[in-house]
Amino acid sequence: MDKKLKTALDAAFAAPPPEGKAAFLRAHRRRELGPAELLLTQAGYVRWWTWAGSAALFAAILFLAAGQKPETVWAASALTPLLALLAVAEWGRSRRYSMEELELACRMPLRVALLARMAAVGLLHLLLLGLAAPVLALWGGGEMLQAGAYLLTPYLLTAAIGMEVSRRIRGQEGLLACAAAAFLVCALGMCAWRTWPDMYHAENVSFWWAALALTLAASAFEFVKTLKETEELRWN
Amino acid sequence: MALDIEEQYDRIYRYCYFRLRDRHRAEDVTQETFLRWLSSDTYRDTGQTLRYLYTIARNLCIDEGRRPSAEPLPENLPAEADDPLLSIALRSELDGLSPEDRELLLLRVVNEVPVGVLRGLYGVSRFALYRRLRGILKRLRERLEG
Repeated sequence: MDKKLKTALDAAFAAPPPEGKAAFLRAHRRRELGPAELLLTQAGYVRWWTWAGSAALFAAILFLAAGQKPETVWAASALTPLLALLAVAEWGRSRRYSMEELELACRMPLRVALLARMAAVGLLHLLLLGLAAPVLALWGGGEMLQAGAYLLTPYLLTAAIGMEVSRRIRGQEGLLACAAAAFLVCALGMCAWRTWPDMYHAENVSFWWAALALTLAASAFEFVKTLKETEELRWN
Repeated sequence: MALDIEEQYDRIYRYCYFRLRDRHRAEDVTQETFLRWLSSDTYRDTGQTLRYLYTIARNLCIDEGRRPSAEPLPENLPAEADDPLLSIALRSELDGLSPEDRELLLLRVVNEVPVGVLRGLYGVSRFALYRRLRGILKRLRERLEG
């Protein structure tokens, strides 16, 4: 639309200035939580053992990464699914205890609370893996980005499977199924390394980039799907 | 979705004013719309805030329109037009439009309500909305040029 007509329409629909706007806004201004404040508030609701478990696994990954043995890389890489298991367990907590309907009725909707909690746990895990990657690169050989792919790929794969499983299976069985999936990914890493010992060598890095892209896409897809489901529940 | 209440206040007020043609009643309805919105958390984070606000405003305007009221005094509207002749011609052309078309024009062009929100508000497809809006603008242009 041309600017002249738009300006003329704005003028044609001009209304006399409201008289009580300032007083109304002063009286009813509602304080919104900022992103950082929301994150910190919701991080307080994440159970202590998620943080403690993450710290313990990080220590174990660092210990293995600094081991300077041939199996160092796969062993460190095989521990990251357990880190993802902690995140998925937190993600499906309301569902597991059948509390999602109650949480949907709360002042802070389930969707926002889940996003904030997952952002808190996910950022911590990303930071921990980011700290572990240089150690793995230094002691296990290879570059830092490469080491990052070794750590992130099993993490994202477990997260994607975990989200899918926790949507399909409810209750404690869901958590057990997620744990089984996490251990399966660990075992898969070990078996892959036994059958293909060169998989962590620099010449096969393209395989890791492809795997990382795939798992990233899968976990993003699962994440969006789960979030959409909370919205559907809300409207029902 | 974070909502800029200050900005939306003016838009909802303008919408109410053009439905009621009375600044005091329009302002009362605008404030009642926001009070109802503020007292409800149900729609705050579903991306439906604007649609919710306009639905409340529309329903309140319909209720308010049914009540008998004193004849509103003529208002001194702020003259913001660059081209006063075009503005006068446009006002008379707008009076010739149906109230529904005038409302759609106000919401989409002046209040800049996204098509996605209007789609939900009117319960029609995006395509139908675009076609109707194009038709209204075309008719307006033709009449202004003719």
